[in-house]
Amino acid sequence: MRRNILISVMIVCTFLSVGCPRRQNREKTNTSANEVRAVSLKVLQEKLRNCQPKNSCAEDVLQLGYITRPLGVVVDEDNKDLILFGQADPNLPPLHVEDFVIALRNACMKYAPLEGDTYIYSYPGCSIDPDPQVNRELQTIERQMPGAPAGKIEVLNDAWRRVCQNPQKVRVLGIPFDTRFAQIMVKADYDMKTLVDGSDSLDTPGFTSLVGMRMDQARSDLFKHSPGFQSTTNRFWFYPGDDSFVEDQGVILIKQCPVKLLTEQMYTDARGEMIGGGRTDDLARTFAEIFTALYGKVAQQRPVYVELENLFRIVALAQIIKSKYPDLEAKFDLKFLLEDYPVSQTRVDRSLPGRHSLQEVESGDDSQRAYLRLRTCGGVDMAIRVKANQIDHDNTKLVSSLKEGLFRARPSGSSLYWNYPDSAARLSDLTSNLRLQEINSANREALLLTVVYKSSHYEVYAGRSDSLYSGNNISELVKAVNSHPGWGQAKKVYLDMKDFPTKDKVKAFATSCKIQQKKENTGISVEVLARREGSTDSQDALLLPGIRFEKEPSVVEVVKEGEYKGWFKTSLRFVTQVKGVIQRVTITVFAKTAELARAFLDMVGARSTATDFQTKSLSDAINQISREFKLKYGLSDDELSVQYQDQFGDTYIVRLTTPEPNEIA
Amino acid sequence: MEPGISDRIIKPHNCVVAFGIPTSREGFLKDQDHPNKEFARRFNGRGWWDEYYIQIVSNFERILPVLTRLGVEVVTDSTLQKFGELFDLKKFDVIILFAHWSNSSVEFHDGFASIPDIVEKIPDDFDGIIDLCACHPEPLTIALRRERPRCLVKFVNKEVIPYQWMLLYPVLFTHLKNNDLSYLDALEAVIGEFLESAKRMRKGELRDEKIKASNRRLPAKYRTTGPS
Repeated sequence: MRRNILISVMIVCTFLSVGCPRRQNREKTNTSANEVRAVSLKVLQEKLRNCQPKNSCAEDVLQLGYITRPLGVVVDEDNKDLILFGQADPNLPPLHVEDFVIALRNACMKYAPLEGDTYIYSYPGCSIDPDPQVNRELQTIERQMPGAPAGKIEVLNDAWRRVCQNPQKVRVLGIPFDTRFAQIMVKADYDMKTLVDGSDSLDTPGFTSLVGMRMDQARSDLFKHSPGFQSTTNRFWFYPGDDSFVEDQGVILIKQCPVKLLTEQMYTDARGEMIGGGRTDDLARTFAEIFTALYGKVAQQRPVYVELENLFRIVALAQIIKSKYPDLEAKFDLKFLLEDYPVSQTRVDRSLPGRHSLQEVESGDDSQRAYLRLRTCGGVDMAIRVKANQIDHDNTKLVSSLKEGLFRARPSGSSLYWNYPDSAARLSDLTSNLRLQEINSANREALLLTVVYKSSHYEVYAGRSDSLYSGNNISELVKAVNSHPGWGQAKKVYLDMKDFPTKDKVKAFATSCKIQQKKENTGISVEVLARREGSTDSQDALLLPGIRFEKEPSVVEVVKEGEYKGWFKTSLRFVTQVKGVIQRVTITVFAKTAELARAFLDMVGARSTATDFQTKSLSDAINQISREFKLKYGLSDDELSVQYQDQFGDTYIVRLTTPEPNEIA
Repeated sequence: MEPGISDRIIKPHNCVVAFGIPTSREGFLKDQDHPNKEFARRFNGRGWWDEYYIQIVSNFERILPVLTRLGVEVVTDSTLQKFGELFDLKKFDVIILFAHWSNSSVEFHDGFASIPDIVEKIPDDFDGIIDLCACHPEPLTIALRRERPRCLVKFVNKEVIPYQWMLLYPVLFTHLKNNDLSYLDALEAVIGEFLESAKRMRKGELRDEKIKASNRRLPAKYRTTGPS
């Protein structure tokens, strides 16, 4: 029986910078999956104009109506207003009006200094860099190390640590220095260095510090290739990922606005200045890729990265607004926000102690000793360059219908914020679609599609703005799925079943799909992933990147009953993280012989130590190994079966086969 | 708590097949003059009774004893009223309707019935499967999906070839009798086998068997020895 993985729905409050916000009033409650909150910038401005001089602004005004994740903006041309909309979740850090004001002013070049007849514009950003004098001193110390006696090495190491701790200069670009906006960027950057050097350890499966990776590498081959010293300086900086947006009839929606971590190896020139040579250190690049792949999971544990991502999102919105409406100031009455609203002062350190790591590694026989020295500098660069081709036109009318719904739901023209109950679940469908983009860009072996059960038909989303299929003909639906261009090497499709009213309906749909797929005979297998009480956590455990294999003695045993009676099975346990909560998933492998089961176990064990394995999703890791295993041992699809089972014992079976002219609604 | 229909083990005696289309020469002839029916008249000029016999009645006569022996209840000359009473008996998990669909209505033995009239005959709490063997009954399935959300509706989204389905059901019910399966699992397995057989036939592997099987179904005058 195919059943889905059950993963508990728990959201852990782990805010470091802002603490857990308490629910202070009714309005602060969250929007549901089918609700969106809207804030009128015009009313917001009026309220700020009145309350700010008296220093009596209410929290809902200062926190943008408690929106915690901005999704987009709607233009209300009749009222010369901009309506910001997003999701409100009291368990997430709030947005701050001053951050939005700063982003808007930056986009309108209010902070760009005039030099001669040229405005010098910079996107919001920050940088924390060592002083050239420090670099020169460190160079001097490092030159003395090769060949120095053990006692001298200790002295030099102490000196190296001391010099590294000298203050590094903090620079803030494109926006005022002493602001909350700048503080978040600087904190995100500075804290990132502790994740680089491992002094802040995360319990996120698949996440490894750069120092951790370097130590592992050093133990295996440092003594073969190096004189016992290794010193590297890497620059890491947060940068916009592949942004994309959709628009229709004055509604702009963020499809994706990821933050990625980039790296470059740094050198010290003769003057002590740090220069980038355009090269990257292999391990540093791997670390940056891991951080980027697991950004969402890291942010669940370190909320400053939720705040940083939100800053990227509001900068993106500000840039889009300005690019779409160059005459912003004339078109909308936002003068107070753009010119007069005094942004509060938040002290940001001008310098911070340098972050570094010095690790001692001994050779296996204790005869040799090596030292790994690592320095890190870096920053944030919010260079979100909005180009016309990045903004897709939405043909589904999902986006424009949001506008009608938002305007209709507004209680009055003076409402600061309000919830739009999206009863047609259009926003929910859009959100599902955005989630698909994230998952499908992280998976190579399988594709996730969302099938939405509507009262008269099915909608199938594949992560683009428009639906892949809309109708009631499962034969056509399956053909549309098979002809989807995003397959790549994937030979499996998971169907995320959204809004299906009963388990029976899910099973009926699955049966119809499988029959149709058998008729189509494409070699692409279809598996259904039901949602448990509407939650996608079980799917996320399977499909989001970041896993850890728990190596423990596994036994191979004969199967005494059921479908695989007479076969052999073995179990493998993995750890993954869903919404900040660690989950354990068991993989049970059924093979025709004990030798095959054991060989599968060995293959997983051997692969599991590779970094690229740990940053895969469980689905990708196991599907890839299964495919290669079958190839290696010449097995057909029905000679190996893999089951995923969650920690509560619910099981999901994955087969590689399946599939007529039958539909069940 | 009883498992849902997708997990419930179904046996042939939990199923009923209701025929809205004529299953005898008398019924066929009567329908020729019925003002509110059209299915039988569709065979005019196409071989008329002989054609209808080959396509429908011969297959019905062949499967009837099989279905009865397996324990499946068979209802012929099903009126809308009789169809509704099958639900009221509360003894069937699967109700299969062989009927003609035209102009958003189903042709029962007593004439066409509209979608609202059919939906009204189905109790709100029916949580079994309605298996519609009719061409393109999509509007009915949508209405049932909205107004009778607890039940599942199996339908074919294209022209139905009655003899193909009449051949499938005996195999399906035999499979259900011999195995502890849900209706959906049995349907998937049996249709899968039919597809597999069709593939083999296309490859020529089953050509002789096909000819033999066809001959068995046909009246003597239509039989062939096939290509030599």
